[in-house]
Amino acid sequence: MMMRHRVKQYLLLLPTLLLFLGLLYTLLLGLFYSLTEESTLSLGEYQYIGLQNYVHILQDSLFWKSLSLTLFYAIGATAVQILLGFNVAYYLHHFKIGYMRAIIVIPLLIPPLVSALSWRFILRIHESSIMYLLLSLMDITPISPLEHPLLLWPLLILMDTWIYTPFVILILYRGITSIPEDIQENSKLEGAGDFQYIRYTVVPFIKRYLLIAIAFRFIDSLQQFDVIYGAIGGTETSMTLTLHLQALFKALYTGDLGPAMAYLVILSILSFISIRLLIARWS
Amino acid sequence: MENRDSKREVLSSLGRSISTLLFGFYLVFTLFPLLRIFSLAFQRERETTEGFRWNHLLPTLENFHAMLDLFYGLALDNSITRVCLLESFFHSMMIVGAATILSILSGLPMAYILSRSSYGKMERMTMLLLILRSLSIFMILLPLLFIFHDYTLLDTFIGMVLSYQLILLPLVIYVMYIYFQAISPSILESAEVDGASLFHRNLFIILPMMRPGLLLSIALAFIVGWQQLSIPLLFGGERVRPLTLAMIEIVRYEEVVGPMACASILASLPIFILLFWYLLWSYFTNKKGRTH
Repeated sequence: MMMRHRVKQYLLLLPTLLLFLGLLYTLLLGLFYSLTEESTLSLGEYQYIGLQNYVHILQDSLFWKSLSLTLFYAIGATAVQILLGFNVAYYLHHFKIGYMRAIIVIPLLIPPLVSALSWRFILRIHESSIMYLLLSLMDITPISPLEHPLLLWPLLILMDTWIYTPFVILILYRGITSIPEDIQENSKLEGAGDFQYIRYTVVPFIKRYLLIAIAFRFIDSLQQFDVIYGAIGGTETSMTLTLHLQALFKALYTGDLGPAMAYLVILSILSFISIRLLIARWS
Repeated sequence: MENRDSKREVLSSLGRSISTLLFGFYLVFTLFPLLRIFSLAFQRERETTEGFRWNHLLPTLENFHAMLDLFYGLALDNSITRVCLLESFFHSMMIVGAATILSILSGLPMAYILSRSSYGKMERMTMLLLILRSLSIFMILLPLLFIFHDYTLLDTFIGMVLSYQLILLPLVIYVMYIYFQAISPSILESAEVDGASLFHRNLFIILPMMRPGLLLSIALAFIVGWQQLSIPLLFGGERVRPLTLAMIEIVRYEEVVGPMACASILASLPIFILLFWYLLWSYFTNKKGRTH
């Protein structure tokens, strides 16, 4: 009886386990590709070249530029979103207007690609607009601000903030409402001002929620794909992009599968290390 | 002492006003693009030479008609393809619907067993999810592309639904696991003592208690699946073209703002219907709980 029960259990688990085995297999295959001179153009004729891909990448200045852009994007977006999200969540709780979350959550539900495209349309300088006239009077060719290499990244952080701040708000709001009422009252009775209350009561209390929000936001923005891809219009550009897009373009357009996989392995290791660092602060 | 108190009060009120300002700014910042997209979608196309006329301000459905006439897109390999947004909408519906059902069916037993085994601890599960997320999605998708190519699964419904499981299954398992953990084992034991068979126990005790968790994971899986871009981008094509892929292909070909704003609304519609249904459902169940 017990035995049959066990067998049934494992039979139920079979589809999921198969999927995870498949996942593991593709992952190992990907790791192997990163050690070969595999090309998408001539599939199957690969050559094992050891760690050469990684050595080449680390010597490439494009990689370092792309890495610093990726870090700038991820750190900038996470910092802005956490600060803004905390402020809004605290405000919602303080004034007891939590029902407004139903409006605030809207950007999170729209597909990120659609949001990025919408921002692209909004930021476009229309030919009949005043901006277009002003720019052409100043002898500047009016292009979309998204095509300017210096303006692109702050604007991308803005889009990322628009889409994902609700995520931070939802998590932190949950944390802030979980603070027991007597603790809130106690600290008020002891004469804590707003700053002291936030610094010594709220932040320690919601530390775990904060860490979860930071962790999810940081790895998500390290590997952000949909937003950036939508914002640049889904085509190849001459601008340097983040590691994720650089790797995809390498694999799809130039056919360098080996180096592309090496990029992705480095990106995954980076995300993994940052997760470990954050989790170490967990307790 | 008094001086210090008044200084603190000034600082505190300054902090409050900054916080209020930030909140107001955030609300405007959230709502502005939404309103702008709506206005772009219902705006009339206007010739610059035509001059101003009052009827330009009236909303129109022209752009929605124009959206249905968008037929051309540029594929990844720069070849021109035929795209139909409405067809893509139904493709998306079918793929995401099937993927959601499959992920719920295969994730349910896994979540149950994890919640009952000694391995499943809440924190460990959260960490596992985080570690899975730290893997770059293309690291799995690019090798999978070649495996799918060998088995001719590219550009098919089955391949698409299977690859969606990579994203949906961990999520669904995690959410249902949280709800399974909330069911105390003593309830299940008492059901067994009263003579319920395994089948009866699952159907009449666990399933009704799991209903909120089940609905939440269906809603989440659908939303996450609907938002997906990277899988359609690599695995979609002529025959199977989800909406996100169709939109990016059209934008690559030509950027027509008005009709594409309509397409944005079309692409967000199912999610809002789902959200509305979920809010209604949770409102009515809460109300029922209060009155009885």
